[in-house]
Amino acid sequence: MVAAQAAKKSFWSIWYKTEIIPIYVTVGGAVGLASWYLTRLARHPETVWDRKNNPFPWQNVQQNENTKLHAVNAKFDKFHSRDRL
Amino acid sequence: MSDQEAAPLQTAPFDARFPNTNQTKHCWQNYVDYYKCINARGEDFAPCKQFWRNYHSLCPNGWVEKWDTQREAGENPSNFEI
Repeated sequence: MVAAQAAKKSFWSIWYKTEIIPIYVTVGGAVGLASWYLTRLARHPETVWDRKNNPFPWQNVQQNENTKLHAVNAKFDKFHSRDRL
Repeated sequence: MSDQEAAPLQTAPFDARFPNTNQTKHCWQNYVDYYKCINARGEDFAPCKQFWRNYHSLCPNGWVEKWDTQREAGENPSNFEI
């Protein structure tokens, strides 16, 4: 209890210091990367969110659309974007 | 082994819906599409044959047999009606 209070007090007393900016950068970067990847997975045509109205989301991918991050040896006109749940 | 008239060798063409190595869903989709096509247009409708060729190229024979027996028994959970 005392240690938690002491730790809390000491974070709020040093949050503005320049020395801990790398911590913010690293943790912020990691959280950003993780959330970017999670949204990418959520929007993937294989992920089914609405079983009643959209049970087969991969059927909305047209033949000239790319779903991969880096498509090797293949030419696509555009990237697939998932419009609906 | 020289074939005088070699039959053209072909397989299922690339499908942008299934670009990755795992072609399981591609196999299933072609199987379902073939039977949907047959139910809607009749067995002699020629363009349905492309689905037949695709799923025979993509699917393991054991799966095709299992699905066929399920379908004949009316137990296949896939929807073969449009």
